[in-house]
Amino acid sequence: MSRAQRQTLALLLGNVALCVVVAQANHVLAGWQLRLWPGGLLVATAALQAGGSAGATAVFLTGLALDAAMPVPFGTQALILLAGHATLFVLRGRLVREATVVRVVLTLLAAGAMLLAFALVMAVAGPGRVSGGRLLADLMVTGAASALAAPWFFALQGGLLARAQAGLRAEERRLD
Amino acid sequence: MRLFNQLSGQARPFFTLGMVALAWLLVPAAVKRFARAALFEAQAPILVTAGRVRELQEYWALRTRPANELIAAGHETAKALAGYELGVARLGPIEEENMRLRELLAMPPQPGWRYEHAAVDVRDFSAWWQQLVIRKGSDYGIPVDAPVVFAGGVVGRVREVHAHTSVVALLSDPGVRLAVAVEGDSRPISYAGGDNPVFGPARGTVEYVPTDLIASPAVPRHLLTSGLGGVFPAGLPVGLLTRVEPSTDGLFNIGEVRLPAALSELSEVTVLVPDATLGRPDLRATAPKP
Repeated sequence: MSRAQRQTLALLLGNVALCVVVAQANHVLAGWQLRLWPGGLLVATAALQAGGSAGATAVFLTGLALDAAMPVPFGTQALILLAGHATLFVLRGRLVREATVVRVVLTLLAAGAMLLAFALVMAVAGPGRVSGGRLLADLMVTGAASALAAPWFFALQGGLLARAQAGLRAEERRLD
Repeated sequence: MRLFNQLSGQARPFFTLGMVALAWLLVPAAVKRFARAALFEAQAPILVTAGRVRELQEYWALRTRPANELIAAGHETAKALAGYELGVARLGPIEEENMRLRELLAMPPQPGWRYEHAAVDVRDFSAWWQQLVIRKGSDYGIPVDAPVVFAGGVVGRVREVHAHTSVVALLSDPGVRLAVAVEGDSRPISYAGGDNPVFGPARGTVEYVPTDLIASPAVPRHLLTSGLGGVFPAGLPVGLLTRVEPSTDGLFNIGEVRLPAALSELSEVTVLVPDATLGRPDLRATAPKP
């Protein structure tokens, strides 16, 4: 198995773990009509630390898995995550992306932008209008939870990549 | 390929994104359907395991309760059971009378319902959809569009059926529509899931409300399923009609429905599976108020 494939698998495994945790959190938050969207975290490590094709593949497959469990046109979130990945991947050469604080800030910005993009898509393809208050509340809860969980998730992804012998050192300061 | 190699590092990810999006649009719908079902089935064991772990947590949490509390809960359960047994005993003669009358009127027999109780593994309430994943699927003969109920009335209807799980669209899902009627009034009203505010109970909306029907937060009216459309049996509680106002055309009223708060905390639901071999009970006689 090539290094890129090991990297894809390790990223995918981490993303699946995150999705499971988020699904459990959403199960509890449902009582308050709140929902977390893990998009920002799903793309951050893949875009900032991994190889271009490996990260994009992992992010796209994760998006398809998310789409499979939700009543949205299949591929919607996969393409949005891929767009978020492409943007961060292009920007990463200009950023101090090894710093956790920078990664957390980028995660939050990516989460906000992708959630708004998703809302725009759903305004066209979804069942009807939704209140801005609900969207804002989801965005704020997602931001707070992402900021709290980001260091743990980055460590998890780093650990998985190290175990798969597809560590991030070789990707540092490179575009691909 | 030559074009791809000539692209600078900055443009390459976006070029790839564009190519993937274009390719995705050209993928046949059957392939997408298959991929979606396969990916859901791949996730299902994780969802079910998470649900079972949650049940185990609740079990061990209950084990820490003092015995006196459990004895008191047992007494309460026994009282509720006695009430239900009385209700079931009353229901038997009513069912028989109903069947006799139908025979006298030469009406075709109605299909009955088989009750499939299922645990809720996942609650997923977003701004655009409100759904549950339950732990029974085609292995228990659950069909798409089967009505789902709980002690407080209607939960929703089955949207997708998989091998061992099903996805239920809740009443509060903006995509759910059904025919309802105000208690004591047979005229049908169109119900749709509505906007779901943060920290509040789920809400729905109604259209085509006759103008002589009045409701307000102080004097709400009970909404029940009308039985029209053939999906939901008649007489199941839906929610409370708390507000009506004239529609833009002035011919009918529109209104707001407050759904039961318990809808967002369900852990067990019952799927009504149509079964032609059983007589359909008249749910109006025993349905609890929301």
